[in-house]
Amino acid sequence: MGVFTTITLKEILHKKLFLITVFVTIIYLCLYCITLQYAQNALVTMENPVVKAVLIPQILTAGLYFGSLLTAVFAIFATVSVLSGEIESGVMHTVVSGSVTRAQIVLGKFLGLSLIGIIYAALLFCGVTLAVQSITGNTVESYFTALCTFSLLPVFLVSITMAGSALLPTTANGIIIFTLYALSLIGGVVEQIATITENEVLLNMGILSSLMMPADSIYRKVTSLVVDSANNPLAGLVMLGPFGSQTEPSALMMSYTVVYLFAALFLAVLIFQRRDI
Amino acid sequence: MGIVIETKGLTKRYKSGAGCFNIDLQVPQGCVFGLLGSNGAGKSTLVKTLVGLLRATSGQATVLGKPLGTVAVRKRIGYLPESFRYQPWMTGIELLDFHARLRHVPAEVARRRIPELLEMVNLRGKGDHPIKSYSKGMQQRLGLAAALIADPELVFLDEPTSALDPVGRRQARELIIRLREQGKTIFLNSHLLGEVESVCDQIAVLNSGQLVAMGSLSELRGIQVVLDLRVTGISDTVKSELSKLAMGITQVGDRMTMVVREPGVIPLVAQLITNSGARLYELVPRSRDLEELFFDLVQNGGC
Repeated sequence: MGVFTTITLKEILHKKLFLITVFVTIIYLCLYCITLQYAQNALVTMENPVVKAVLIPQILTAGLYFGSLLTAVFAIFATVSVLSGEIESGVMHTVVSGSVTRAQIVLGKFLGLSLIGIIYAALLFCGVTLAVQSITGNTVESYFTALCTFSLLPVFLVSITMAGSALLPTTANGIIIFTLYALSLIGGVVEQIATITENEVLLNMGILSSLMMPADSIYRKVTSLVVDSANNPLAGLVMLGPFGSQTEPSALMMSYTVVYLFAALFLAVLIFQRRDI
Repeated sequence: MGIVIETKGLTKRYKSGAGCFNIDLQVPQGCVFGLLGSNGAGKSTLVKTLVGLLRATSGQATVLGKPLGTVAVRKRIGYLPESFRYQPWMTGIELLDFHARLRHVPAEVARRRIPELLEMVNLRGKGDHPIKSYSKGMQQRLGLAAALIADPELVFLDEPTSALDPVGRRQARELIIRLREQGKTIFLNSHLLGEVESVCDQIAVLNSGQLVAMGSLSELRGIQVVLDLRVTGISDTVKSELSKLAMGITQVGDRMTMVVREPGVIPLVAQLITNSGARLYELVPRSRDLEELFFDLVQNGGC
């Protein structure tokens, strides 16, 4: 299994996708720092402390939101052809005929992709939060737990994209996974609106989309962690808008997400074991 | 001599209806076994089923005495697929090292074996070049080396010379013969009749997914003899008499070809022609070549 983890890591580092992602991430972090600096400069002259208490956490959650988008795009693009692409190109023929089980191939690749995804997500999270801390002086709550939760996103997406890659051709898999991810993002926003407007129909729609694809719940959990809602009287204002989290995803929802992740991985192994190469 | 591959009613049927059906095959140890068939005959399907890439629809099969697709068996086989492609970002050495690790070859053995194999497939000095810089033929040579990295007992080669130039083809044939001399069994899938004829001890012919013939080349040829004649002034009556002695007869101008069951007929043919007053300039007996045999099997469904 280790051989596939190593080879997957090496392969990712050789791909243009990795270089492009690094380049885009650096640009993103630079722009984010510039925005933060301008916001901080403006806040210094403002006398209203409420604006400062609300604006900086909102900039933090916005930074994490776009960070989660970058992480998702990287995780999905890196995984979308990991099995199907190698089957289509013929690379898999000699690999599968080696003295390894198909489960070892899937799990080894999963570990490699998850590892690089975790490293990327963690660096991005640290980049955004360190920028906020160093420029504005605001502290980030539950730092380690939030970091770990944020790093769960690429692992989750690698797992479901891998299941798709075991079952579908590369293009179809990419379209389906991105559609599901978009559905999850829209569902997340709908859920926020539903909570503010107390609309039960919208809330159920949001919950349903989260159950179909709980990727957005991971992000909402992170925002709930980094902004200490319990001890912040302005939490309702801080969490207003598409980047906030009006209700913290429950422990049950997070458990569901983890079960979903392992179920998708199990499915990937099962499908790949049974399919003709 | 043991049996390395044995199949009984082995069938792989795709959703489209194509595949290979009811294959009963026995491949003896230490031989070069050629699988012939036209494009789409089911050759690659059969090979992929035997190496465990495809799941058989029905039937039974053992490879090296074990059921198909088990890890224990795959450790002892090498495989060069028809549609080969390797990780373009790797170097040749990295690819061979990867395949050595896939087949649990000890690191020190791999370190010794990789330069030997690169030398064997004529890629010496190219091992540290990235595969994306290799030509199709070089990639096929590298694939041959990868198939042999674990020193397998049984090697499946699916169209191993399709991308090679004439020199490369000759070297591949020599390599196959060398492997046989080392006691290895080679399962050669090819539609190049000359290649099969020159190296194979046993041949099987697939047509539309069905096994239509199997045996040694001499067994398949039988004792039939082909007579190439040059004759003039032959009458229809004589021609009719000749066709009674022959299994098949064709004539274009003064050239006539007859297929007769056994060499004892040859004097009778000569006597019949000369006694009739026709002029016999040439009568050359020869065995049927593989091409004639193949076309007979594929187009007419049998000898």
